[in-house]
Amino acid sequence: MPLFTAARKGRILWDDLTTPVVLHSEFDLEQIVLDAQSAVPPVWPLQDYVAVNPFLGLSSRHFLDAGARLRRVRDVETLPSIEQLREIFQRGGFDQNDVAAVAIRWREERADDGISPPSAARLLAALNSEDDIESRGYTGVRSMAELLAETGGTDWSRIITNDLSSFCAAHFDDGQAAWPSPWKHLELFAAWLESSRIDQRLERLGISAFREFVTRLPSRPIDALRDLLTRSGVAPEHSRTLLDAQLASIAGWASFVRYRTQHLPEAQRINSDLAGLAAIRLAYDVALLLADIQPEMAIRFREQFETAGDDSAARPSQDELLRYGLLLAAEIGYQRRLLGQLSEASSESRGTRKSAQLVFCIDVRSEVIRRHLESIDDLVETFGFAGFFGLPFEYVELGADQGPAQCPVLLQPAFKVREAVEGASDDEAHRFVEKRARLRNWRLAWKSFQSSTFSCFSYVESLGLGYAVKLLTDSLGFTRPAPLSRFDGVPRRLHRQVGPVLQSACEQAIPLKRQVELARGILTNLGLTDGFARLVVLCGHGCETTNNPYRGGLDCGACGGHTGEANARLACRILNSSSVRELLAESGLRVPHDTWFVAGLHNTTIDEITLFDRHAIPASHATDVVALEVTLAQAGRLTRLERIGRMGASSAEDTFRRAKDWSEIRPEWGLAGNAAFVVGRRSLTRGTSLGGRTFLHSYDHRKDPDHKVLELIMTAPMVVTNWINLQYYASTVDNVAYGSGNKVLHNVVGQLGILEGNAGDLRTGLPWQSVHDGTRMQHDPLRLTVIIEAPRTAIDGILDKHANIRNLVENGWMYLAACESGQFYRRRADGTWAVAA
Amino acid sequence: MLLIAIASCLCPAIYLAVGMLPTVWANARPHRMRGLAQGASLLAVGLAGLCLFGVATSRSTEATFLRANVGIELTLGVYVDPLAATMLLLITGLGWVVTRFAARYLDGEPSQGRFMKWMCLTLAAVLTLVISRNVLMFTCAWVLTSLSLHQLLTHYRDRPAALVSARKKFLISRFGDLALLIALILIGRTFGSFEYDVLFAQAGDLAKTADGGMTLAWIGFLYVLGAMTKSSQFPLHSWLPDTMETPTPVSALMHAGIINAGGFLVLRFSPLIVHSTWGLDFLALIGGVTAIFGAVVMLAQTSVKRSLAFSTIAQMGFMMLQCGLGAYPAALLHIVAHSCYKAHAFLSSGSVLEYAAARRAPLSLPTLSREKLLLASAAAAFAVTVVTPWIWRTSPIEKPGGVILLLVMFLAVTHLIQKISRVRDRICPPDALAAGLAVGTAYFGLYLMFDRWLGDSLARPTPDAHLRDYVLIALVSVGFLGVFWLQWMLDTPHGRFRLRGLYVHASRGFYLDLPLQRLVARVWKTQLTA
Repeated sequence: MPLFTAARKGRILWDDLTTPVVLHSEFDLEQIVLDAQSAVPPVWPLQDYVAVNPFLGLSSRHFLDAGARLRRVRDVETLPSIEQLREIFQRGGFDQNDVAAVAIRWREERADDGISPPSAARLLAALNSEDDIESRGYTGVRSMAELLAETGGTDWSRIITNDLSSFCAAHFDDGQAAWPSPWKHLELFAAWLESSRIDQRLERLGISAFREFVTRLPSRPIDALRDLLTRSGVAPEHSRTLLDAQLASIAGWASFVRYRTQHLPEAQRINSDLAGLAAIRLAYDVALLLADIQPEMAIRFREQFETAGDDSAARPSQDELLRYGLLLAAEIGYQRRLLGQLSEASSESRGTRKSAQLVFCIDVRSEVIRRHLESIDDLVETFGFAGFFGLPFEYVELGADQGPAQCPVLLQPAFKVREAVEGASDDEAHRFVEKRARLRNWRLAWKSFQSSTFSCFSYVESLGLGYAVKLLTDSLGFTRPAPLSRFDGVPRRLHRQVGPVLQSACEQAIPLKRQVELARGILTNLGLTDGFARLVVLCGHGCETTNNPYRGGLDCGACGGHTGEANARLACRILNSSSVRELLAESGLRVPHDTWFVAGLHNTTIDEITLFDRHAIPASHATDVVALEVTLAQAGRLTRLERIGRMGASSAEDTFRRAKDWSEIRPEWGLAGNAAFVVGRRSLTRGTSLGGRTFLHSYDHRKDPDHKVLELIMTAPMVVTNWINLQYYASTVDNVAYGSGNKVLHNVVGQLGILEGNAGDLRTGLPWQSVHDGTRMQHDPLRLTVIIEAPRTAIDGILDKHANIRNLVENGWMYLAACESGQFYRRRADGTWAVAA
Repeated sequence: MLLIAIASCLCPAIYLAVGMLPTVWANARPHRMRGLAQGASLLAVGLAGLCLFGVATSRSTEATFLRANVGIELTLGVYVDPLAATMLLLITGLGWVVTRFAARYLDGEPSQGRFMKWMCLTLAAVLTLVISRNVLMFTCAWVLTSLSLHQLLTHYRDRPAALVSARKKFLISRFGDLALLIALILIGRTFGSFEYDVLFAQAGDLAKTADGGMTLAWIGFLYVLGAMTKSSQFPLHSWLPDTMETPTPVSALMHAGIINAGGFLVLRFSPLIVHSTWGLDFLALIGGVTAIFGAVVMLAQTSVKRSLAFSTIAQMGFMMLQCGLGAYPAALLHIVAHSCYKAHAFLSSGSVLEYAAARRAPLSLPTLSREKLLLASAAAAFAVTVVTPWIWRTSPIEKPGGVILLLVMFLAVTHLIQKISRVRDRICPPDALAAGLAVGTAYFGLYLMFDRWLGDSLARPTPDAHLRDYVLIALVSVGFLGVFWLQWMLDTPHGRFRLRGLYVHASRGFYLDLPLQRLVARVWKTQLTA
């Protein structure tokens, strides 16, 4: 039975639409959808922006083969371009010897694939010539819209992307439109059905009777999918490929939907939405197929699955092998220099009690300031630790009921902590909350006055002139465009007292027993169980930037894209509590009486460290704190000086301008440049400059006989650093598919994401300006090198236990090396260890 | 006097000097180019300030620098009156803000130099437009403004959507150019001169003759058409929301500076246009439709820059409505105030999340009924609308277009008081009344200020009571009451559900972009895209 017959172009034919659909019923479509769903990486809304591994769900394949898998359905690049590799080479990132070492490394990484690596001579020739190397172009599956668009006429691909994108934006809008969609409460697919029954756009563009077509679709997404898959005429065994291709053509919103189906609080999740999105996208393609605009394209659409659908046959092309070889060379070069620095590192000094111990986040930006701190004062010791300090909680701002999760996105917040004003009576606190509500409600009413259909004119005429002053002061950096609302309602003198509290009159406190557990967790995981200094600073970090929708990306990823202030302050409160310490001591973990924990925040944009809760510090420690602050200020200065070159700034003070300047496109480099993760004692890295490119996690395997801490580090922080690394990697090698494009065109959509320009798909990943300064890359696309100071057997044991991280290591998603009694060993893909130079 | 003349013509000249630097040179030295552009801007602001001061102390200045006679006298000179001086300061001020912003914002762009170059040239063209002293200069500057803006709109040539939107604008602008060109020829033939002083002096007498009246009416109408194309009036607006393919500072400059050129045209040529009553009525009607259309579509937009674009369309519509009604001081106030507001809104569009956070408050359920609050607010707003003009001893109802302006003010203050009352859950709390009073006082005070400042430099249309005018006023009033009702409906989920059809069409801009999209595809033989 023909699914369509020839008729007027652009007219969808209905003859068979009442026929019951049976073709696909023997397939477990739900399972296919679930599989397709698991290959979509999530993307978080802007205010909670965190780095995500864009290749999530592919780690069971080798890194090189994953590219081929992805290119089945989407034109993406997973390897650096030859220009990028040449740039690294010419800058001295690697040399001829590294290129010569590629063959050995290749066999270690890909033991069994039978592809022989390109010869060193060929690799060098590619580096030294100016020519482009030929690539074979995109051979994967195209959507019907893309196929039609390629023939000229109407650009259906862009039209459908824009149409669907603007529908998704309206459906998920978090407050931009004053007139919200009337179907926001429905599931995505149901809402689309409602809206598309009215929308005339596609009909006016040439698919007549599109609305009628929509009306006849089944109302459940999975039924609609089954129906549409059948009508597409694509052979059933290619359903998965077809779904992948459909989702890939709207990859940005698919990622956002994936976030909503997986990472929202349980009650708010709508699990069918990804199937719904696939069904919507497929409906457009099927409408185009049935509209019979170009019959030969419909045939091509169905036939392409026979050739492009199978990924097992897809082999890396010659140019990919060449670039992969050069990527290996670049990584070998980096590792050679890194290991050289580590092995030269001075041995650990023991003896006198330290004057202060500072715990920083593992973030690469901590490495620089830690190094300078230690260089100034020998008695200062620093640690690296995931910046949420082991406290996964939901932080509820003053006067609110719920708040953001202050923990890595791999974890769920375990408890709720409220913000309060310390030292304020209940009455006062109540007044502040009321004042805050009044202020913000006032702003809300004002906003409505500013933007309603008829009052906007009077708003402009009566108050618009005031913006002349605001333009001037904002331009000069005296004011910032939007108010900082964190302290709304709280008088200025009490601002520093606003923070997380352990106890509050109206709220359940964290039980003491729980507090002790948390405290023990922090100290043992940190490896700080003896030798406490008088001051221990837990230092979170955050950025300071103006007019930058991507600020979450510069804040602490371990705190869910927020600053680490709340975590550091809460941790210090727990650790300073005398009852907690007593109970800790009972279980054998003795914190000296003269040790005081101080919370700090490293402002990574201007490299200043602020200490919190100064009023609570005992008088006996006052001089210690003053001395420490002098050291901190000095270290900040040195860090700023070191950053001058990279920022292209004229002076170190330029960083202060960048934090306040509303036109600043590159306030700081964030985690750009990250390339390694070193887990071990500081003695391994102390005294050598790692250039702000390494994550550092403190770990002392001698204190961890059963390797529980190591397991935690390898399953959580290591995965997070791998995510961050791959996000930067992907945004650099293919900014169109995995990055968010040009920041000067950014257009915040629905207060949740970014569009580049007028319309198009939701953009994910980092803007080009975050990895490139206009003349050179600021992030070299290298896979993460993880170095763990621990026995190889312990590492192997943990890898055996956790298939997901073993996949990462053995399939080339990261490198793993062990440091055992001063010797480095590199882990091969077959699970054996090779001595590293 | 001469000093002012020289200062005013130096403003575009400085920008021109920087803008004439070759693109290759500019791209190779982005830092130098940034410095030059900002320096030029600062200097221009200073000079514009000087002009404003000069005009304030000694009224208008005219000067002719070059003169040639080719059958008709051609001159190169300046005409600086309160209107021109205001626009000079506004545009140079925005020029400074925007070039300063673009310095860091486009840092590292390979073509930042080119960008700065065309920014300077665009500014030079707009400034020339503002100070020109004859119709020929005006028309040339008008065309040059649009051509240099085209270079900014196509800054990213590799982005197809950028090209499409620039081409849409290109087509509409050429249509506008044609209108201005015909008007120019008509003026040359009718007056035998292009000079403003000649035209403005003779227009009154000419209007009294039957033939002359007809010609003037046509000239006025052609200028109205030209203004509509520049200021994105319905249905020629659809290029504007699609210009987000260009860097944010261009949007700021365009929405705050260039788009006003249409309004400036009507004000500048008001002594001619007032004689085209149906031209003005047409303008008022189109303006009213544009205002309402833009504001309704804006409500349903989900991206910050698109919301701002439709807001600009609405504001330009309202400004044109004021122009059409003859409320010139109000229109100039609107131009200046809207420019500052919109430039800031675009440049700070990256702060949208922070703005949202600053408005996030726990929801409290109001206990008072909406109807009761509305009635009380309307009563209070009525009092405000009566009292605040009285504070300034002015009576707007006697001014041209006063009825509509008062109605809009009344509705706006009602909305403001009602919204504050809602969140306070009290009938007309003191802060709501204070806010209403402040808004009213500011508005009428500023109106009076602009009225005095413009003095007699623009035409003062006498409100003549034609039936047509009443119909027009009634139509526009019904429109504004209609959107007031719409806003009322949108407050509840039930109302939003009832208006679901309108919602879908509004979110799509009522599909009005499609015809032009097709035309562009046909003219440039490209793919149809939308």
